[in-house]
Amino acid sequence: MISLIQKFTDKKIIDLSKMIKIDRDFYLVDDNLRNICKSIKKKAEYVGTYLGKKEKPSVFLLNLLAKNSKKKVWLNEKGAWLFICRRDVFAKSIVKSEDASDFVLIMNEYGECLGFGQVIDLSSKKVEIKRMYDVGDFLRREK
Amino acid sequence: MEKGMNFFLDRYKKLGETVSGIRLRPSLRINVLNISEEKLINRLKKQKVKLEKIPYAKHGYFYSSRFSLGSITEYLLGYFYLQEAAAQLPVQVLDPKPNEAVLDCCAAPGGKTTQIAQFMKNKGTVIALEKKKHRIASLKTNLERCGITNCIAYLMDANKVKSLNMQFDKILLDAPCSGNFITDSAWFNKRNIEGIRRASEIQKSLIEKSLSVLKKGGTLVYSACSLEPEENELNMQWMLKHFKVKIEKTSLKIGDPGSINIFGKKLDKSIADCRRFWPNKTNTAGFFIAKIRKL
Repeated sequence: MISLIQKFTDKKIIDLSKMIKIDRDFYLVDDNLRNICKSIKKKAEYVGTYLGKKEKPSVFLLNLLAKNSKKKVWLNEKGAWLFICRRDVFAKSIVKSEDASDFVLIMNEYGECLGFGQVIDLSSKKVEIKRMYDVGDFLRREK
Repeated sequence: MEKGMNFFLDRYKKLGETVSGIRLRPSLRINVLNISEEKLINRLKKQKVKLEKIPYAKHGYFYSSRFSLGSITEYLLGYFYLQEAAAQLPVQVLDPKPNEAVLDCCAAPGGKTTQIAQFMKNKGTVIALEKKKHRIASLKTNLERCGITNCIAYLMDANKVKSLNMQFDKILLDAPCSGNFITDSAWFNKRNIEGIRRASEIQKSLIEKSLSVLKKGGTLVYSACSLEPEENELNMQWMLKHFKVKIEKTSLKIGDPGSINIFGKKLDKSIADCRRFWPNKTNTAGFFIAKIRKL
């Protein structure tokens, strides 16, 4: 989780003392919920604010990263739709970018973060950014 | 034989209703934790999704769309939950407030759990219990998607809720039930009176366990998507006989009063304060909602 955050920012955006891991999932837990969990003494399946898995950030974490990172590209409507359908990003879909050198957060026209990818060839006219993770994972996970 | 379409339709007639099939209108609830109602309406309208406010459901809308709303960006970002109109009402009756301790007894897939957290503005505590392991995944996914931050979910049978050693201000018991023919076209062929009686026993047990962890003065909302009196009014009659509780008005402006004459058996008058949803009258799934105060 930390290494994922560091791909986008050096800022301490998460209070690590409030972070817990259940199986492969990370959560931020406030004192109230932490105390309840302690008193119940049973494994919780979900608690507090979901941060995601190691390389699969939650929507909450994606938005937090987007607020604290300049590594972002903005896509047009069609590009954003294709991205959440597991497709890589083509140059023609990018309407704006900031510090797009390695890992980048993928934003839509509303400024919402849809996932992240890795810039693989800046000079290419074809695939520009390789999709690493997108919020459509929710649906695919259910199936 | 105590089964089949004619048997059940005859029972409904004896309860005073000639029921017929209806086409359920698809509906959604806007998750105002993640977006304002106005913003989402504008975004969906841009995609040619037609919306019509459900007059009796806070944040609820009927919709029609040429494509599935269950895969669009706004859904993935947790801006709305696809939820049947009547199913949006038990939480509205429960009316959970920020900073309360609330229990959701049978939580998966999480429609009502996420709605409880929404009412509470993500403040306070929601304990969500789900008995079936294979249903926990959908509960977790919906909690994540809707940005719920005040919930703890456990894989647990609500019959064992006492082991949590917690007392709750409010409890939602959306009980496992036999369902109804509106949401299941094969319903009449699958159900018989024995199965309904079994469901009723399970529900009674859950009512008893829920009341054991409800604070004095606290509210229990009991709901079931069933039209069968054994799972609804007769459970309420049993509850009034065995526990120090009273049934209160729901303030809902839809649905009929709970029936207080079940096949010739007279029930407590306060059961009329429950709401019974006959699909042909409400244009929703069959439903029953009771608001109960622990004395």
